[in-house]
Amino acid sequence: MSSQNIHTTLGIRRPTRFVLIAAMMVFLVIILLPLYWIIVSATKNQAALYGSFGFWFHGPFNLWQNIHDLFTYRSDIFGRWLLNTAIYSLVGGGGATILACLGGYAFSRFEFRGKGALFATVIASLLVPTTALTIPTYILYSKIGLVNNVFGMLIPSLVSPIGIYLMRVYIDGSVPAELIDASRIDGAGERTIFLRVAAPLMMPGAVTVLLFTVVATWNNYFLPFIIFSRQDLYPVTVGLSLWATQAVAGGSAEQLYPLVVTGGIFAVLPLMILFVVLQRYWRAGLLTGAVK
Amino acid sequence: MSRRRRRHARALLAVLAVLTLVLGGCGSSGKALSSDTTSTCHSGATKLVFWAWVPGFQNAVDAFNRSHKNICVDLQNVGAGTTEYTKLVTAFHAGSGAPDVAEVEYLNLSGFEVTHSLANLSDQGASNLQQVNTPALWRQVTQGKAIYGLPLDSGPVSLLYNQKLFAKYKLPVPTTWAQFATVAAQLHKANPKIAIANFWPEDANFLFSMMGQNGSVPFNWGGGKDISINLTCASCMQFADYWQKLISSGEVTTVPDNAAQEFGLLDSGLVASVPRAAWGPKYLATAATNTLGDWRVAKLPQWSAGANVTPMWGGSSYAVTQQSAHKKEAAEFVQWFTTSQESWKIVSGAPSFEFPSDTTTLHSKRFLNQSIPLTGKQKVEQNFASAATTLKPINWPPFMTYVSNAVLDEFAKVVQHDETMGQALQALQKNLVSYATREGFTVRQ
Amino acid sequence: MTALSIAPRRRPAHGRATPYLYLAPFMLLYVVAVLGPLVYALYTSLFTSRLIGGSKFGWFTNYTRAFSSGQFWSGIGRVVVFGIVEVPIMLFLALFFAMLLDMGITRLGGFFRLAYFLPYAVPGVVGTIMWGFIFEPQFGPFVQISHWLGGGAPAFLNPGGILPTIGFISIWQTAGFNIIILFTALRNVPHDLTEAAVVDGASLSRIMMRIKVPMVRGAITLSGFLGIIGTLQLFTEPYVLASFTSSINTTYTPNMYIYSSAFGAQDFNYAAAISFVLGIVTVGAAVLVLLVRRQRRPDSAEVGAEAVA
Repeated sequence: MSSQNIHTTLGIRRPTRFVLIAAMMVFLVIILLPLYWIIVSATKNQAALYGSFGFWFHGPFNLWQNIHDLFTYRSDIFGRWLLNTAIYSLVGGGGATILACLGGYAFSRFEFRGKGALFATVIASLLVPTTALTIPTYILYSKIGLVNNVFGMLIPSLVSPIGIYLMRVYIDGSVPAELIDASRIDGAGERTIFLRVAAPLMMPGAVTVLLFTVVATWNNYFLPFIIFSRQDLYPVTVGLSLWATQAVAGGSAEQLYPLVVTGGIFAVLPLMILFVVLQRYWRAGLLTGAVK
Repeated sequence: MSRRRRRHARALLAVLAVLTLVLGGCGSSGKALSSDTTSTCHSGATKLVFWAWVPGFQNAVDAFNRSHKNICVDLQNVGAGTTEYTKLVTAFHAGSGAPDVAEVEYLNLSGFEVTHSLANLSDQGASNLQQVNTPALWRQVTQGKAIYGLPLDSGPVSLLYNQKLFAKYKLPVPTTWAQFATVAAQLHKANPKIAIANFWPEDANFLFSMMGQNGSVPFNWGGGKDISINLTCASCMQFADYWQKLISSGEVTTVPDNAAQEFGLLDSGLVASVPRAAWGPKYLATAATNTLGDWRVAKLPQWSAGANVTPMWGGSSYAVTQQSAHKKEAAEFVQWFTTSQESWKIVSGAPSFEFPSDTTTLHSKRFLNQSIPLTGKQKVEQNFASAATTLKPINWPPFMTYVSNAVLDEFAKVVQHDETMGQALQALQKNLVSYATREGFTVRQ
Repeated sequence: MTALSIAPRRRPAHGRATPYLYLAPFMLLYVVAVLGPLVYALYTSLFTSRLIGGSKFGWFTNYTRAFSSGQFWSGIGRVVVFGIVEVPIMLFLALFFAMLLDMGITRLGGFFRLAYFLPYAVPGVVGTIMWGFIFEPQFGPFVQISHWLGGGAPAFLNPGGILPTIGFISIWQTAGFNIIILFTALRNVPHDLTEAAVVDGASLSRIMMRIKVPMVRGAITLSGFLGIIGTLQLFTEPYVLASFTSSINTTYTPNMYIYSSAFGAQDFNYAAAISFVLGIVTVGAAVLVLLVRRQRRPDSAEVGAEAVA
């Protein structure tokens, strides 16, 4: 906070400030343009989606009808997809965050054999594209009964190598080793040290990792697409793109575009609300460690 | 020390326990939410999983489940076309996870046949169904005596044209491709902004079917290791040169077919006609507002006057997978689904609109007298039904997903004017021959 | 490595098993979800398979084929060119806006920060479809505006315009993420450093460029590192846009080549082999970037990257 005050008291010359704010506004418009487009489009029927100017409204006002259709089409399946996504993301993201805190703490504050190799292995998995892993994953999962099973979705969602990395860096920077050592000398147990000393200091980093892992699971498409073939298990990304392929390529004499567009808004809205709620934690810092 | 370690381990166990609880809770909630799509089933019935994507099939499946005490079909929509095949390929490759019955378009059927992924339905007594089916479609699903799927819909291609535009520019409805070219030039002269047709060569099914109308046999595969690939024959090149002229002169557009872009051009009067399969008008109808009622269907122009050859574009068969543990029941369902009048009453109407392979339905008054707002009062099904008697389908190679991708990539260059149709066919020939050879086929060119 | 220097050098005061217990839950799931499939893929990549004749062990046949594949390398070439242009632009924009937010030049900083981050909440597929509609050359809004102004159709999706368009969409999608990473890093530069400069009468831009930006080099490296990985694995944007335009073929990027080899040509063994080759190329790129960065003093954000290298 105080650094903000210093800056404002320092001040910038008025014309410079104006130019900089203009730049921020231009970027804001670009950022919001497709979101504006999708809101306008959600008020249109299928013919108006093709036939009218994309950046402005065009009658008849079809928003309520589209929302109604969205939640009633194919026996109300869309609400189910939203619920599934919420469950997968909260459990997957929450669990991944807990595991990243534990793992990051071990990597950051302990010396043990194989540490370098283990950490390298974890990070290296970021480097191989997941496309090729789908078939092996599927084969492995079908052997242990994880195909068409919520755990098939949850287990990979619990594993976040980038979360481990971020937590390690965060703990490096914000959980002083001296504090841990002092606690040990005072005779505190490892559990107490972790829960009472380290965990509170890890919170801001954990919230950010939670945000990332929830978003990652929320937006995951390929994994659920491959392992689920029961519609009642789909998350919203897979369900919507199912309708989209049907609307675009070789599928249907039904008017699905308005559903896909309106569904897009509902797929994004809950995450945006989450952002607003978690916003205040960002200030507390993600990469304190990185600046050491 | 040891006490501390034990406490520490207990802490971790606690975390794990919480995690397991959360996960377990989720797992059970997942079960509690399981769907009731099979509510029409009788208890104790054999469960079949059925993958298909055409809207309205649930009604037919429900009717089947009600009237069949011993079988319970669970319809799952896992995506249309390629999306479904991606999942099928994965499941076949893994050796488990495939449905009992799957919708497979005719052109992709042999790709699953060559990998031995489909059950031979003649083992289930399906051979006697030949007589109720259109002969051309029967050839699409059989290999010698083996039957790998049962046909449902077909796609005879006719010419869908904008009658108002044709009247405005005083264009005759062409009956040969030569006439079509004349009409194209005439229209182009009258109004260079309007194209006579949209022709998208990147669509492999459309491309090869239209080539087949000119007598070309792009592929020939009889189920073994021998295959012939011939995309550079004289009639192939005649076809290529014909369309290349129209593309070069700008008399046809080349945007993706049956998609938003094309619908936009058609509905705003910038494209006057399109070769279109029987299912085509219903697709366009979802997007048309300005031109509702202006469209008519005519016989597709022929390569020589008096000829009568109809290309086939699209259409699906229904196959029983080798992985199915209930092939007999699955075959019973597929047979009911594709041939019973009870099923046809449902699937030939809205919203499925399946153009019948079943000859009884195809010739019924109820079917032939339908009309849709797009084409005004014209009874378009009569036109398509008569075209269906002269169908000439393609013998598809057993690697159509590869071919479709190769066509997409090669003919994109034609659309971008980097290559001619003829050059693209020659490049494609080379590509496919080398692919087929690498895959172990003996290739005749 | 800083992490090592922070950690105590003397004999650890905790039990030997302790760190492993902390790691156990993660590593267990990691093996099931990542390492297992990865090893299995590595194994299958050593087999060759044909539609006629089945599969047989072929050592590195698939790898030699991948290394000599024109389609693969033209895809690599394309994403390398893409990355050389896109990653620096993205980093520059992200740093620029993170600095503006950190300077507090507007009271609405919180609002801007949130807005910039929003695209990150949009699934890649949905985001690309939205831009696809907006850039669509027949009825898209930009084309209509251009027509009203008497111009022709803008070339967003033409062969010449498609790569910049993909870059634009990808910056739209990821800039917010990087702005947040850099912003939080800037926020956490210790105040005493900037206060000293303020007392010395240094200007704001000077404080930014000379003190704050060098302090967040680690965060910039992290952003750049993730940017490079994302570039080499580019898939969603071109894959989705391909349904809007003929300018993108099925082997446009290495990852699309993997996808079409697996599901188009149904050659899973070959697809697995290409994936590992792409992994090797990615490691190479990461090492290259770190060698350049090594000229200066590494910091802890690079620990992971170095561990790999």
